[in-house]
Amino acid sequence: MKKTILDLKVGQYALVRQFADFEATCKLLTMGLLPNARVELIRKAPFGGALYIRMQNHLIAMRENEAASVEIEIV
Amino acid sequence: MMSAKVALAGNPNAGKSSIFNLLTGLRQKTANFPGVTVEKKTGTFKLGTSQVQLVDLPGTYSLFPNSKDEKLVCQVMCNPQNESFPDLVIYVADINQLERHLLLASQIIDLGVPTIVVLNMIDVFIENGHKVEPKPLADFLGVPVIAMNARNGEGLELLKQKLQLFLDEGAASFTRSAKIYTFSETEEKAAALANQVFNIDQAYRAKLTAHHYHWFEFLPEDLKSKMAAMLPSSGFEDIRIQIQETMRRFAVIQEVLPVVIETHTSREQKLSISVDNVLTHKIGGPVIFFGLMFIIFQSIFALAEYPMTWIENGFSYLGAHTRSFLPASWFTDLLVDGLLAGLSGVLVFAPQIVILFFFLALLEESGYMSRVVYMFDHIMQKFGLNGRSMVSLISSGACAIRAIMSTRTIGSWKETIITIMVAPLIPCSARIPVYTVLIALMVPAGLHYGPFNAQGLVFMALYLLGIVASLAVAFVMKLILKSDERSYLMLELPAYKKPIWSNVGLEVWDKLLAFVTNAGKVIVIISLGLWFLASYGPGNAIEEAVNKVNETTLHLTPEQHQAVLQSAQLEASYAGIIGKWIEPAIAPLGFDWKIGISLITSFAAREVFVGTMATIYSIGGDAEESSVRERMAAELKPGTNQPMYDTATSMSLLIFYAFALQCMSTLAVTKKETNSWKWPAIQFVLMTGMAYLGSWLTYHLLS
Repeated sequence: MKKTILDLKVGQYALVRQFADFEATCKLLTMGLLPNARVELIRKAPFGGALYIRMQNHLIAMRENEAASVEIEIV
Repeated sequence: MMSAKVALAGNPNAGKSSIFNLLTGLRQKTANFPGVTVEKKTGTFKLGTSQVQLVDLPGTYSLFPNSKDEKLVCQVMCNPQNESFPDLVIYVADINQLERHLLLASQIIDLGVPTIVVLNMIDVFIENGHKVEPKPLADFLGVPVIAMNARNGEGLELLKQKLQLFLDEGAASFTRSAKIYTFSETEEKAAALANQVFNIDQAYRAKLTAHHYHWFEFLPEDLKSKMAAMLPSSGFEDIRIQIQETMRRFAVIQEVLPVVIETHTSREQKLSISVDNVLTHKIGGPVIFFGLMFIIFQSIFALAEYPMTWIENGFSYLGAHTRSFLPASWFTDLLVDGLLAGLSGVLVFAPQIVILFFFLALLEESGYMSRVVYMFDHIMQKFGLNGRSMVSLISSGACAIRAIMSTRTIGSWKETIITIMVAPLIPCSARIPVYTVLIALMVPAGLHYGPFNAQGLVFMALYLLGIVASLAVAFVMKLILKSDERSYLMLELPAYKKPIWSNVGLEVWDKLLAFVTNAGKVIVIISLGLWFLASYGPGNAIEEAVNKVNETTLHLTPEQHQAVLQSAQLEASYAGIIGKWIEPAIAPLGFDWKIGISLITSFAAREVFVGTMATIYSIGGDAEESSVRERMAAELKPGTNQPMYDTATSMSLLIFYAFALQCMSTLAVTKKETNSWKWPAIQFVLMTGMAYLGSWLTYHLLS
């Protein structure tokens, strides 16, 4: 099983490796989530469902299913 | 005199509107792009002897659009015949996010449109210990690059100099000779095909047309079918090539960036993360959010009270003096009872609207709004909505029109439709006047429960009712509507910023002006029409009514006699006849024919209620110009000593105004946004039905 952003624990870093989902890729890319980008899980939303992520020099929020489409390598 | 069309483009949160405000100041107006409900801010300014028209394009990440906003920008930039197609683009990029912000810049430059790139927010950049070096970037992009700090206007003069240079010398030094992005063989073929079919010789525009031709509205249908038939043979796969282009553009940008600017983690970002430890905390986050909302709506009441009294007194004074200066005639009556009464009814609510929009602009400017989207996305999904719906629902607290327009960023059809349908249930600023007047009749001013203003608490309860109703309707619609389309959150959380006060000020000013002119126009016209309808009746019906009163009510005191007389006069007028006509339908709700008149006039816009009441109770007015509130409080149920506006009737009327869709503009914007008559029709029937049922229940429970 390949790891995805969803497997990150709060405070953990990873590098983006691949995108599993074709449709979501376009959106992820324009937000700057590129292969080799460094991502860190900062926290989870109060009512669950969404993740607060630091990506190199900016912050983004994404849903769990969106996070599950980004394959990563934990560093 | 020369004139030029200049467009501001850039990613969301790049600071475009600050630069727009710096250049145009108060010479700006907000309208819509033709045919769509995307907000179009335009302004003009003078530069030397030339006139510059500036358009603020909606924030866009890329020319591969994901939302209605982005589609609009794409259509403007790919169609030189579009009325907004610019002679020059001022591209605004956040220098602290340069890598991402250069994606769209490189696309626009490749379209061959003359461009100036503005690196904004250099203050933060320098604070973080970096040096701003625009030159290497300018060499790479092949267009002028300047550094700016829109917060204090630093760099504005340089931007104006560059604009002047463009006006004087033309496009040459603002256009890159070769494309930044090199086509693959397939892309070459697709672009050549687009050129052959649509006659587009600009290579990158041709390639983008190959991606987007099927939804470009400006292309003729027969050519689209021709393109659709020919394109597959070139092996052109839309999405795959979009991804390929985006990744390769980033690769080129990354290659040049280390030379220009290093990527880094800024102090500003670390600060935002710490602030969000509190503001988006598991428990603290939602508590703070609801606390903020509570404070905002409490202060609408508390702070607006004084200026409202000044405005009311001012108009009373003005009315009384106008009457004493002018001879008694129908014209004086029209002026005082029609025009001044109507105007006062509108302007008295300006303070509350200013306060509400001030807070909304503050939430937006500071970056807090995106945290709200993030926090509530999961809950919103349970109701068939998107986290972004929160922005719409909160702005609905100001105006449903603005709320419905902001649904264009949601993306998914189902979530958009549901948000549009429920947004008008959230109490908008136009309900404030109605609520204020009616609450004042039920709850005495100055009554406090602990530290809380009692009127404010009732107000709060009505807001909660609106929120609960909208969520309930959303939930039902979620079960009914079917859609396979996926929805996304994918949201940028911009670093917290100190709000730029001039931006907040201009936003509030813009909205106040819109309220006063739009609502003002409708209210004044309706007030004048109503004054006529309430002052005149068919034939000599009014005279007959007066005579009848004089014959039958000899045993009354002069005051009572006067009141009965006024009532009889109004009853015999055209307005009275109309009100009487619908009375049977609204009597079960506890309403009389006078309220009936207000309900009819309110269907254009609900804030007309107060103006209508003002006009109705001013007709045949006594010498003393008292306020609508006082007049309504003094009104008695016919034939009794009971106040007309007792708790049951006032509450029933409040519920009616809480639910009923009395706003033509909302229906119009729903029609435009959904592109069908079906949704506005459903919206109207549903909300009016809820209003009638709710009022009926309320009246029967309370009376």
